[in-house]
Amino acid sequence: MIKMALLILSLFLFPAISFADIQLTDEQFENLDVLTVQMKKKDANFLGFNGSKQNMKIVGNVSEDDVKKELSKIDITAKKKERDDNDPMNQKRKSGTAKLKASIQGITTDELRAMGLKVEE
Amino acid sequence: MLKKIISAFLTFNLIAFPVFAADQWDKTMPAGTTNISDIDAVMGVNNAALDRLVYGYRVNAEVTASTTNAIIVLPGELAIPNSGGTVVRWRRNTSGVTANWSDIDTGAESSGAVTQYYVYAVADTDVTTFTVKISLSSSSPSGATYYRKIGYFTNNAANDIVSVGNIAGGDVVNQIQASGVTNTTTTSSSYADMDDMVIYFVSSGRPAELTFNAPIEGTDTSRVYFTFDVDGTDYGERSFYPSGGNGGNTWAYSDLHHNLSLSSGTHTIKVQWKSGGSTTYQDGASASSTRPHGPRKLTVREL
Repeated sequence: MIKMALLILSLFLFPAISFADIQLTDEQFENLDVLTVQMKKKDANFLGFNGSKQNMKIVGNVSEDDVKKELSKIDITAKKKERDDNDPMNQKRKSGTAKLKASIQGITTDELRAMGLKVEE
Repeated sequence: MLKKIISAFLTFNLIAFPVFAADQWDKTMPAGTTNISDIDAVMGVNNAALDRLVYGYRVNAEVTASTTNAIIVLPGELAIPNSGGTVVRWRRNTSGVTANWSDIDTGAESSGAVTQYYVYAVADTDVTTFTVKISLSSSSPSGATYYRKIGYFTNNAANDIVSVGNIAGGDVVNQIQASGVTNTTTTSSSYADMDDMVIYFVSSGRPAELTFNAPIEGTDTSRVYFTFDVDGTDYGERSFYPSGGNGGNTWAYSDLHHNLSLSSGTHTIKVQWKSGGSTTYQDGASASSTRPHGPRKLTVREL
């Protein structure tokens, strides 16, 4: 009987997922992935964004006001740079580009074109 | 004398009288030997048998969407009975009939709440055509004697007519398609409704087929998940890595199918999606960006 009561209580205590409307700036809308990562670090109950620019909703058992407050504190430019710097794929791309540049030093533009490569001036 | 009476009685019993069944078509009736006083009854039996056969007759008369405040019932032929099914009126419209809120049986359009309405063909007037009534009732419109439920629609929270469907019959199928032509996106790690992907479906109890298709963009390192939500229960979940395209964001064409049994009555059917990490896009608007684009479509069809 006690177990049953506890089960019922736990069901009531289990946080339901809610969907609250939120108005985002253009910059915020274009960087939803950055904002989502940062918001999840601040509040595990935040599950993400869903919808269109005109009709965006926050998903999770979170307060709309708290989310708005936290969003306004996020420096999107800095967080994007931080993400790109720490992205292993980005690092590989950068090192690959550097190696490619080094390996083609001394080759002229005409020669590259003759090899069938498109070279922009 | 007694012998004569007995003989007459026996002779009477040996005479073959024409008989007719009360409940089935008899193509030999009325026969040449049928008593003239029985012809009406004999023909009545045959007419009743034919009536049963064409009781559900329907050719076209399909209910279609017109505007956010009206529907159109296309031309067609219908058998329209009274509530007891004892009299069936056969009617034909040679042009479409537009029905709007002035054709509701009682009251007025609902406001601000998702409300299910039904569409009836009515044959009360002694003419060759039928009229159209809208009703909240799923069984009988108020003020009509001869009626047949031919379709349904939902008035949504924005007071727009959506999810226009038909009661399957004849050459008319019960199928509804919802289309989304705006750009939508998700970063949610929990299932959330996809914009515009909801259908309010009235099932007769037959199995139904659900399909969803749309171009999707995400990244090839993050899964995208989709599911059909029927009255709050998930069916046919599928996930994939969008892996087409070259570098950066990549794309795929989502094409989900699921067959299931729907109980008789109304059902709310949605598409939900979630992201495994990166932002997932569905650009329903045309040529709005460099991303692959095209409308998203949810279709529900009774089989």
